[in-house]
Order: sequence, then structure tokens, then C-alpha cells
Amino acid sequence: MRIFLYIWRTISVFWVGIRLNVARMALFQTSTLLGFISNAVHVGFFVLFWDIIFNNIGTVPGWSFGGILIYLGFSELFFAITSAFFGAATRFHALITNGRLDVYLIRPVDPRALVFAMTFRIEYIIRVLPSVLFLFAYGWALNQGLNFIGLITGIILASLAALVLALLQLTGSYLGFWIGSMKAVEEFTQALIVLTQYPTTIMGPWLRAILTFVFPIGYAATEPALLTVSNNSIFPSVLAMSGMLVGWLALSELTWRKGLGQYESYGG
Amino acid sequence: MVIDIRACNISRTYKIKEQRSGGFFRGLRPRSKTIQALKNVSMTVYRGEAVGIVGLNGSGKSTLVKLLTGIIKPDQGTINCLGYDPFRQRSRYVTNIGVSFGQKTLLYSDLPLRWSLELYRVVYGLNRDQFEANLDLLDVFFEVRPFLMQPVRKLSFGQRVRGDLVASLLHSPQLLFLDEPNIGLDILSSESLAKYVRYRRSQGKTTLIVTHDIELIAQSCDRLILLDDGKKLIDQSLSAMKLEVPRVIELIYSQVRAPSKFEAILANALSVEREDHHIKLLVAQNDLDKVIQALTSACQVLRLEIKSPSIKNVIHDFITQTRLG
Repeated sequence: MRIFLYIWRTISVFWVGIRLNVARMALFQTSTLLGFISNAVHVGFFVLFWDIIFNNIGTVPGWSFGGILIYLGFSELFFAITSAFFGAATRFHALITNGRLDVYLIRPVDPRALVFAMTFRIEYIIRVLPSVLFLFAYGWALNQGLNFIGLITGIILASLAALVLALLQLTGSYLGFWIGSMKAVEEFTQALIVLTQYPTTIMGPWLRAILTFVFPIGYAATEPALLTVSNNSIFPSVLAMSGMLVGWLALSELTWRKGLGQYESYGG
Repeated sequence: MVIDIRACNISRTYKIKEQRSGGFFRGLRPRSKTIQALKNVSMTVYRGEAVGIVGLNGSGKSTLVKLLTGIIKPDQGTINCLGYDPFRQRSRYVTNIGVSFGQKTLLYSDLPLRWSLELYRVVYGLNRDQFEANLDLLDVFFEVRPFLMQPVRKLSFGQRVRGDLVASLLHSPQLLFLDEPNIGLDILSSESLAKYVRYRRSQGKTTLIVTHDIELIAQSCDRLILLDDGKKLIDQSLSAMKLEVPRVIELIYSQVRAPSKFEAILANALSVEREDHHIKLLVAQNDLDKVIQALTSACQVLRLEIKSPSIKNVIHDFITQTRLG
């Protein structure tokens, strides 16, 4: 009973976090509007980049231009989900080292849930939606057909990849309980996010395996796009992602619990 | 009597890295140092008490609060608050406590204060009626309604501190920890805080206040704990403390009837200030009746006044005397 109450309260906190984030967006309407424009420009440059590749260099093995557009759509979606819901994960180590974690630990919800709820930035999702829809529609038109189950599974996989990346960032941040500042987590995950801008199929087998079975980068855009443009079975991807999710969840939770015992807050 | 806090022989150390002086290369190899922030501190706080914790900077006050709120765990000793082990059972325990760190806020800076309070309404599982009723009550003491719809970043520091206090008290916690609660509060707001703590006492709720403001303790607490260098030096009720502090007898007399007896009384006083026929004597509380009787028989009294020191001065003198040993 207590666990259900706890989960219900956490969900309620997320819901309030979203409501307050929307209220905040209303206060910063110009910024939200400029976000649409800057994202459209950003996506435009990427489309141009791949257009140059396809027109001047030749084909990318396994990808048509339409497929690449869908890949770009997933890549944008993954980045938006990461920024909108898990933006605090990469900076979580700062709460540990500067002692601000104290104010989250004294509330009757999971401190991490409260940190995330208070830093939701739904505007990232809203500002990429037009670009993502355009990329999917354009890619669909060029590709002459889409696998809908693959598309829905792809969206779920990209969302889970964002969650796993957040767990990875949190696990790295929790090392701050033992060794202090963990700014390296920010740099490492930033490097991983850069890799989502290129299909993992163009990388070597070892790197691709690492990015598919250890780090969730393969599920950010490559696997979801491949499922959408082909008739491949969704089960191997779902199975691999489930394994990765459980693994990182367990490692993250273990590090958190052990780390709390080492927490020193800060003087005064 | 119900015990809300029981801490037995708690100790806590911190490891810090200390930069070495004497050249660039020595500075690259910092030295690890262990600091004992609390040393075998035991304390008991009964339900409905308000206890002030004082001490110089670095005496272990904030460490004590962090241990009692479950933020950090003790290296040694046991803590039981409201029937919970604060560190091990933190998620259940913190539902019943309120904590305000005067220097750390958890309010949305861009949004009106009301919306941060709305978040805490959900965090503490209050329904709207409970929320409004509690907010009305807290508004009587902290007057937050006038700026409830203003963005937090536009509030004055004092208003923000009051907002933070309200956010910590919204769920009427059984046990409240206030760590430097009146930093930035004006005199009236500080008095309101003291009134609120007294109100909590009348409701049988327990409060622990860490502060350097002796006035706040004098106005709101019934017991004081003094920490010094991680050790507990004093744990005494303010009324008992007052009894131990000497009283001042101010005497104006016309003539001395028994000079030798009169001089003997003066000689036995803790201190004497004498000017013509006006004398100020400092005497121990226990000797007060005896000295008054002796004075009235030894001289012709024109005016005799007994002055009780203010509770603020009592605490100040008590702490000074205890620290001096």
C-alpha cells in the first residue's frame, strides 16, 4: 500500500512539474517562439549536410536519403526528450558536491524525482515537434512507405534510450559521493550525444556493439529509424534495450544507495 | 512524556583535503585531514518542547541537524526521531518533519511563490482544503499572501525566507528543524517566527532551532543546548538557567544602623558598586532572601529594588561562563 502511495505521489509531482513548466513557458513566450526558429535552422543545416553527402559522395550503406531524414527525426526527438525530462541528470553531481542535495533529501518523494520534476523543460519537445513531423513526413514521402509498428516502437525505444542515458549520467554523478566533482560525466555524455548525430551502422562492428549493448546510443536514432523504414522484427531491439535498461537501473540504484552513505553535505 | 528525539553518543567525522603551502608543487599534493564535527553527543527532546541549539561557528550545530534529519549518517551512536532511524528510514520519516535551511532555498525562482507551494502541497499529499487552511494559519504569522503571486526572484530576501519557511511548514510537521531561520528577517518577522514556535509548543509540536540569535531562543524556546568544538557543554532549561544567574539588588539608604554587619554583607556579595548612599550588589539567587533581610536590619532603607537580568543576558552570561570553564 505504502509503495503505491509513494508511486502515486511521485507521478503527481511529475504532473505538477509539467504544469509549472508550462506556466513558466507562458512567462517566456518570446524565448519559446525563438526556440522554434532556431531548431528549424538547426534541422535545416543537418538536412543540407546529408543532402551534400548523398549528392557529392555517394550513398551511405544501408540508408536511402528518405531513411536518413527519418533517422534525423529520431535523433532530434531523442535529444529533445533528453533535454526536456532528464536535463538535470548530467549536472546531478553538482548537487552532491555543493550540498544542495540536502533540500531534496528532506522531502517525502524520491530526491531524484523531485530534481527532475523541478527542471522539466517541455519547451524542448514542443520546439522540435514541427521539425520532427516534417522530417518523418518528408522521409515517408521519399521512402514510399513506413512501418507503423516500427515507428511506434522506435519512438518508445528512443524515449527509453533517453532514460538509459540519464541513468548512465546519474550513475556517473553518484561517483561524486566518493570522489567529489564529477564534471567528467558531463563531457563523457556530451561525447556520447554527439555520436547520435551519425548512424551507428557506419561505425565499426565493435563500436557499434558497444553503442547497442552497453550505451543506449544505437537506440537514440539508428535502430528506431531502421525499424521504421524496414520490416525487421522489433523483438531483438526490444530485448536488447530491456536488458540495458534493467542493467543501468540496477547499477544506478546500487551506486545511489551506497553513495548516500558516503554523503557529507557541506559545512554550515 | 513522549520522546520525539533521542540521540545516544553520536559522533561524526569529515574528511577534508587541505592544500599545502610552500610552493607550487607542494600545493599539487593536498593533505587529507579528518575533522571530528561531533563527539559523543547525546540528547533527548520531549514532545512539545522547543529547543535552541547554539554554539560558535564550526561547533557542530548544522552537522547535528543533518544527522537528526537523516541527510547524513552518524559514524557512531544511535538516533531515534519519532520512532524512526532518520537515515535508514528517511523516506518515511521525512513525511513527519519540516526542515528549513535559512541559506538554501527550494522555490521556483521564475514563478510566483504560490506555484512552488502548490508543488509542496502535492509532495506532502495535502488536499486543497488542508492546503488553504494551513496557508491561512501560516499567513497569520508570516504574512505571505500579499506577495504570493509575485515571482520568487522579484521578492526581497526577507520575503523569500518567509516563503521558504511557509514551504517547510505547509504540512504542519510534528517535528520541525530550523537552521538559521531568521537570516534576512526583520525584527517583526523574527518576532512572528518566535510567536509561531510558541504556537507550535501550545499544539504539542516539537521544534529545534539552530541559531546565533539568542533573542529568538529567549522568545521561543524552553531549553538550550550549547555545542562547542563538537561537544555538548550545556543542556538546560531556560528557567533553570535563570535561577542560577545572580540577581542585582539596588539599594538607596539614609543611615547605617549596624556598620560591621552592613560591611560584612557587602564583603560577601559577588560584586559591589558603591556611590554615597547608593549601592548595587550582585548576589546569588539562593542568597537573595537572606541578604535582603540582613540589609533591612543593618540600615535605614529608602528604596530597594531587585533586578532580574533579561533572559537574553542570562543566556549570554551562561554561555560565556561555561566556555570560560
